[in-house]
Formats: sequence, C-alpha cells, structure tokens
Amino acid sequence: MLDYLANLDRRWIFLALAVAVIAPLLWPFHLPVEPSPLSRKFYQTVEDLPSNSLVLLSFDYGPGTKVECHPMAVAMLHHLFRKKCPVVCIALWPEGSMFARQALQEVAPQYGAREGIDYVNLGYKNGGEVILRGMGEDIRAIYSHDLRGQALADLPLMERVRGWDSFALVCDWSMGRPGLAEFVRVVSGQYRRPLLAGTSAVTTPEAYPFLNAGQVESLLGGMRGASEYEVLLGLKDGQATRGIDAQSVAHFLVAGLIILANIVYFAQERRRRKAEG
Amino acid sequence: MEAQSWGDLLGMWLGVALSLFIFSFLYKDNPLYKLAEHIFVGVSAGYWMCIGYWQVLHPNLILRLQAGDWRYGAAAIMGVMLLMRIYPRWAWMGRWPLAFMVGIFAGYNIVYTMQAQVLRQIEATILPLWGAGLTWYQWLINLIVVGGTLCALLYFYFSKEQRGPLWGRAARVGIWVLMVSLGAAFGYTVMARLSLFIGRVMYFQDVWRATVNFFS
Repeated sequence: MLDYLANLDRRWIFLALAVAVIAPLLWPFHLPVEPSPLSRKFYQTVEDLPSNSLVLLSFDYGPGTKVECHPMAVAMLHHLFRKKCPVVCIALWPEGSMFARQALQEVAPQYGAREGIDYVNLGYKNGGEVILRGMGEDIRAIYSHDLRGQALADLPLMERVRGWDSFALVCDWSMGRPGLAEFVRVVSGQYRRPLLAGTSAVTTPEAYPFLNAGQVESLLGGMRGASEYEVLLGLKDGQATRGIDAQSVAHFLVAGLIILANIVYFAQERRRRKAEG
Repeated sequence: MEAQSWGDLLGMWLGVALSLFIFSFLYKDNPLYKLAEHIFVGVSAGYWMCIGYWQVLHPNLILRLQAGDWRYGAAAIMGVMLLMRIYPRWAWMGRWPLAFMVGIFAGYNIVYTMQAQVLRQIEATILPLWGAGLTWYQWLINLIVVGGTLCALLYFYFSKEQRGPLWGRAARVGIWVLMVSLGAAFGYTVMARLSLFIGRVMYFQDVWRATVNFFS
C-alpha cells in the first residue's frame, strides 16, 4: 500500500481535483462565506465615501485572472453606482479596457448610470508607470479620447478631472506588472491618494508589504476576497461566490493530499531506517 | 453570457474545444494538445504585434512624425539602431540606445522605488517592543515582524560563517521565516491555479446554458 501510494500515477490526482471542482459547481451546497477584516475594511472604505465622490478604477488584468479580478470589479461598480459615485476607468493591460467595458455594460444599466456623465472608460494606454505619472501632470496629454473615440472635452464627467487630486479614491485590479507596484509608487507615494487593491491570488503575497506599510488602505485577495466582498454587498449570483464551493472542496483535497504525502514519506523513511538496522 | 448569432455560438464552442485540447495534456501529450498550443502561440504573436504597432508605434511615433514633430525622428533612429543587434557587424550600434534606455529608466525610477519599496518597507518594520499601551498581542506581532526581518536579513549575510549560539541560531530562524513566507506564497499559487480551472469549468457551464437558450 505504502509503495502504491508513493508511486501513485499523478493522473489520479488530476482526476480527483477535476471531480472536486466540477461536482460543487454542478451541485452547489453554498458553504458560508465569512468576510475577513481586510474585506470589511475594503467595503467600509468605499462605504465611507461621500456621495458623488469621483473614483478611478484601473483594470490591470488579463484573461488568466479574469475569474479572480473581474468579480471584484463588477462588485465595486455595484457599490459605487449604489452610492452615486461617478467612475473613471483606465487599463494598463490591453485586455483590461475590454473587461472594463464588459463590467460597465453589465452593471451601469441596473442603476441607470450614463456613459460620459456617471462613468467614462478611457481604455488602454501602453507605458505603465509613465502613463500614471503623466496622468498626474495632465490627463489630457495622455488621453485625448475615451474608448468609443469621443473627445474628452465632450464628456461632462471629465470636466471634474484634472489629475490624481481629482479622485477621492483609486482602486487597482492587479495581476502583475504593470499594476499595484506602479500605483503604490505614483498614486500612493507621490500623490498621496487613498489606494485600494484587488489582486489575483499569485500576486497577493507581494501586496501584503504595501498593506503593512499603510501604502494600500485594504486589499481583496483572489477569488476568496472577491466572494467576501460580494457577500458584504449582498449580491445575489456573484461570480466569485458561485465558484467558492469548488475552491473550498479543492483546497481540502490539496491539503489532504499534502498531509497524506508527508505520512507516506515519513513511513517510508521509518521503514528504510528499520531495514538498515 | 448570451449567444446572439451562430457566429457567437461557434466562437464559444471553439473556446470550449481548445480548453479541452489543452487539458488533454494532463493525460498525455497528443496531437490535439499540440494543435491548441500552436494556435495559441500564433495568435499571441499576432495579437502582441498588433498591440505593439497600434498602441505604441502608431500613436507615439508615426502620428507625431506625421504631425511634423521631428523631435521624434531621434527616437525612430534609436529604434533602428536597437534593431542593428541582429547583424553581428553592426551590433555595437545597439549599445547606445540601450545605454540611453537604462540611464533614463534608472533616473526615472530610482527615487520613487527607493521611497515606496525600500524606505517605507524599512519604516514599517520599525515597531515598538515596549512602552505604555502595548498589548501582549501587539507585542507578539511586533516581535515577529522585527525579529523575523532581522533574522531573514542575517541569513543573507554571507561574509561571516553562520555558526555559533547567536549568529547560527538567528540564521536558522531566518530560514524558518523564509520557509513560512514561501509556504504562504505556495498556498496562494495553488489557490490561483485552482481559480483558473474553476473559471474554465464555469465558462463551460455558461456556454452550455447559452446554447440551450439559443435553441429554446
């Protein structure tokens, strides 16, 4: 048995993981989601914004982490439009402008938010940190049109935007570089604006030092963070909450497999030492 | 997700098929996996080439040159010089624009990177270990942060042998601290990879629902 487990064909593990993910998605059992203090602080930071505060969201993720970052962005748009806070969206990743458009098209009609008045999608600009610094000096030198090709001068919301000081809150949905590190250096470091972040799980450990140093107000990490935020907002059918059962079951399985592998390893070592006398 | 036309539906099912082709590698290497891999490489190369041209070269160089701003001609010349690295005989020309880029980026980034990612992080580890109003829990957290940082830094000091009751033990604690942080990073990586798979399975579900809705 010990040798069988030690040499187990890894395809059985893939199969077990596939079952652990697919079964809860087909037959969800709605495990409770308890929001962490970080998610609560994230929620409260947005909640404390006065109505009509201007907020900038940056969509810096690609298809690889859409499942983690996109639900956070959708949930925050719900939160901001509920509070009647206008939103300016930018993207430092090419696919980000498309995700911003998808999220706005999904959420804005539910609150009667109008493009150009309640929200603007400025789209993608290549350059990372250079773009962020340029926006601080003169946003019109960086963006002359929105994603639809409408001149900024024709967008009533953009009359309120001069530079980073115009925004009451900035939030970055980040899966790597360019992303949170650039926002910390420019928005938090140079312009001292309050910064929130939603990161993919892989990049979350890199974001904790910024949180610890107070450079980021709060943080949503991975699908779990997104699910907690959806729960705090009371969103029904949230995309992250839909996948959280599968993630919990799969995590139990991975943890179980790590424990089992260690038991097998130590049992084999013990047997070897006994055999050697 | 809604399919408005046969084209939408075909695109959705193409996404499902290509995902399954890629997953088939988990069983063993096969021609369908190779097909999906080659399509991905080709599409990615084309996509990034278009992004590079339409988002970088066209707005930042071509449009400005067309508008008569000849200062950007210098950037164009440096770009061509960078490409000269292809020819061994003229490869030396590539060093000048490279040196220019390194110099510009170092000057541009050094101050803010030092401020945001070095000095502020050092500042965040300077925490009180005694004093009025410090609860035992705060004291413990502060001790872990201060002690953990110092021990991890000591581990990376290689000019003195890591032996002895103080130095050797501190370096060993440093290894533990690094192990804990690597474990946390591994846990988050597992979470991310599982999320990716969950996202794909949710996509399959959505495509199935969209197909049923399209035909009903």
